[in-house]
Amino acid sequence: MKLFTKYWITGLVLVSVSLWGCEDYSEVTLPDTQLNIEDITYVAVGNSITAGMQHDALYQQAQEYAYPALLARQMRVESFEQPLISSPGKSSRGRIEVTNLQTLQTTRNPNQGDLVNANIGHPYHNLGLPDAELSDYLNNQNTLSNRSLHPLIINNGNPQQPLSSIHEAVAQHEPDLVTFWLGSGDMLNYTSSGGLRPFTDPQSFATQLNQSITAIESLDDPITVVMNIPSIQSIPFATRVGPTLSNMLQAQQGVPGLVVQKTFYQENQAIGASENRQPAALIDTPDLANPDSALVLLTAQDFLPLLGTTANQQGFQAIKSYWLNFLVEAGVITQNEAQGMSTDQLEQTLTDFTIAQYEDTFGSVAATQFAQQYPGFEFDQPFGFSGQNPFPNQFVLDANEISISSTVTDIYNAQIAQVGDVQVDMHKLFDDILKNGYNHPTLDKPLTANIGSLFSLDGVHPSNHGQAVITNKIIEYINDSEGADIPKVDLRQIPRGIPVN
Amino acid sequence: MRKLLLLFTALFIVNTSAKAGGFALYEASIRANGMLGAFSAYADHVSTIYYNPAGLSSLDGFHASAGATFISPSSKFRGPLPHSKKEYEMVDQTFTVPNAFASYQIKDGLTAGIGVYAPFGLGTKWPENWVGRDEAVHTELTSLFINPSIGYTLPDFGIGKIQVGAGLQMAVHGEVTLSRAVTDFVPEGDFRLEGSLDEPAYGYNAGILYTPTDLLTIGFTYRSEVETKYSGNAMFSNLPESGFPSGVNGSTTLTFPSSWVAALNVRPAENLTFEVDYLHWGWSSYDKLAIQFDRNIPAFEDLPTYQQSTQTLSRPRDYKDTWQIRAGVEYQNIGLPGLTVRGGIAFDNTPVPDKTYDPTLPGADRTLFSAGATYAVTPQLSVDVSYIYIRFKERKNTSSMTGFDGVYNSKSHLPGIGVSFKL
Repeated sequence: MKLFTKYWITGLVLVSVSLWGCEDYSEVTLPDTQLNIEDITYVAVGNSITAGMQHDALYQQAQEYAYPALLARQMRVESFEQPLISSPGKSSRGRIEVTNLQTLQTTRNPNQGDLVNANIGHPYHNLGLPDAELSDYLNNQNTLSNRSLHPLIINNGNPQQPLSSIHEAVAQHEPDLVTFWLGSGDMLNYTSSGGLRPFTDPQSFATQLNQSITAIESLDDPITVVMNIPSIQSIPFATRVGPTLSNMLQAQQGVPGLVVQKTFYQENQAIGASENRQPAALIDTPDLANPDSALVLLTAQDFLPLLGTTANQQGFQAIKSYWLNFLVEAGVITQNEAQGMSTDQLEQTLTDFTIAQYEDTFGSVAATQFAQQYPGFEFDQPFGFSGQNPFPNQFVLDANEISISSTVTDIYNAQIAQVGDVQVDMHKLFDDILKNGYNHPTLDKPLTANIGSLFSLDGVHPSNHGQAVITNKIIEYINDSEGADIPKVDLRQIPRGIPVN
Repeated sequence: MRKLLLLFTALFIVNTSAKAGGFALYEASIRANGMLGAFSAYADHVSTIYYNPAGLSSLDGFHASAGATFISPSSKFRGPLPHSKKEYEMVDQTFTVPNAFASYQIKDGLTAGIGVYAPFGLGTKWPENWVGRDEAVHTELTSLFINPSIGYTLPDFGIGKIQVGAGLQMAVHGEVTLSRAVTDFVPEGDFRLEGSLDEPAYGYNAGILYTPTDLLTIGFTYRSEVETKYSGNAMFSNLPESGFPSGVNGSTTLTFPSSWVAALNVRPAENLTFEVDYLHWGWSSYDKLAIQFDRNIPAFEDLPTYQQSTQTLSRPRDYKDTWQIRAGVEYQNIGLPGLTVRGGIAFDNTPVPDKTYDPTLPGADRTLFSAGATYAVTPQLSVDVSYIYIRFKERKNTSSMTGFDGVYNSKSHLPGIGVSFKL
């Protein structure tokens, strides 16, 4: 028995020691993305969405969830670098931050962040440049210098050494994969100004696009993924305020709608423009909630409480200040002249400017006739409810401007569909999201096309979740087109990232 | 008396941790540790109060023991899958799990005793800036039970010796800490709940031992559920007051699971004892972890629907019932008079399903190995030592409810030391 006991104990010890020793720690293998490119170099070209701007600012916590960063992460491209900016980031007006989570009250944080990863010795891989237009890519027209963040983002690894074009940065990388999402800015310039600023001429757009993509393909024939342009009717910046205003006016008896200053147009079917000879027109209350009839931009919000205000009422100074600034920006008056201008003088100057615009569009003879009938500006009339004190054009896209935006966007997109290796239909994605939100079996509830859900507080830029949805759409297209197997982003693991104050 | 009670309690308020099946700690006695807790049919030590109170009636005179097991767990996470396999390591910590037992024979065949131990505990701490910080940063649960018991040997019916025993489980102290980052906002905030046991909670344990011959003892014991409620401060830091009000109190209810053990103890030769225990845990009682706040937390409005309301922070747990097999051997007077050595091996299934698996408790199926020894310094006093090594099976999770997937590797070292005394 003693012998048995000895063997038993010895056996137990041996088994224990052997099992003890063989600890599980196996190599973790990640799924093969099937891209068949060793150590892939990926470069992203685009505007503020590509850069990762959110809440009207470019800052690190948002940049980390920009679609290029997420795409690089999903492809496991470790070399991908972005020009990261410390919180609260770079912003011309200050980052929008929530001050009350219940009422969604916001404020602007005027502080500015700094570049945290300068001097990396080569251009960044994320070349998303806020406000960029297609012409900036090759910069043949020297438009790049108009972008305030150009030296910070498009440089040779140091903001002191800005590059002369975005393409120069791309070329230095000799990329295997390029995502190219420019063109939105060419239209957004028009739509975000209520039609006051121009969009890029479609013919010029086509030329620049072809030259840009040809330049990329001539590098070493990288996989070029191009994204088309979403409709202005599918972003909260243009769709959120109208229904609210419509409801607000419905509650006011005797107010048929909003009277909005209009832009004069000659008919031009090629860009979807109908003739307009009216300086201002009524948009019926129900039409304000219809995105085909009118889009009241998010920038209008501050002026809604002033509706109905006249020259002798509180709040008028804000209206007067707006029009003075409008004339200064239009180059009609100087800043000094604006400071001393009386209300009567302002009314007269705006009236004269309107007639001048009519003349620019329809000629001097027609303008003379127009001037005889045009009653001009009169701030004693209720703001937004009278043709003589109209709601500024800058904050509203009327049906004509929506038609122009839609037609030109379609032209741009038709041209984009002709270039690159992979064409991602972002226009459709944004439309689908507007109609149905974004759902996925792993999500507890659908994400919506609202501010705070798929869009950030500025209403233009996608939120972290919006960026992830965009990334997944790009991955879908690359996988389909290139036979790749890049895993999609799990939206449950994406934080909302709402800036709070 | 109150001061004495407080002092006594303070001595046993310790941080406990083990990534046992769930958050159970089976290390209630250094002597039992040597046999990996295969002790429910073993009736030769006062810690039978925990393992099977029926064994009490075997103890004559006065017995006492005290000891502590020191737990040093470590875990590594690689992920998040599928896009990264970067490694993160849990912060090193060592926890002390104390125990103390005493018994007194009232009359022949009838013995009363009392035990103080920590049967449940959990402690994990991940780096504050790690990738899973919105899942877990610091999670800690401590418990302290007092277990007065009585054991009785039934009259001889001519079929062998039958002993029965029962005890009252009293959870007299407990603390819970939960903290994690709130990454939905910029800058990030954090949530921390620090609660303590509201009031004593009660359960019972009972057991039976049947010894048909001198060679064999069969044991069965049952421990009931104990439902405990903790409350304390819920702190939201660096988050807007409009969504996360300050001065909030939170509470949570935690049901410690029931368990039963079927045990077989064999003594094939003089000085030699084998034991095999089958242990069943009723972990299915732990279906969710819900923190109830004493006021609305407006920011919760947007959280997933598994949140019950703006006053509750809730996550499903959906643990499943599990079993363990524990086997131990003891050899007395080996080589040296008064020296006893022990060894053990055990297999333990995790109750945590993939769906609710997260870094608060990175457990897995595991194999345990132990060694132990007792040296009788005098006929009355002996010193016990033990050592347990827990080897966790590598766990790769790709189907967690939150999408935080990855590969976990864990292990634990548990040395222990104690003394036993008898008169």
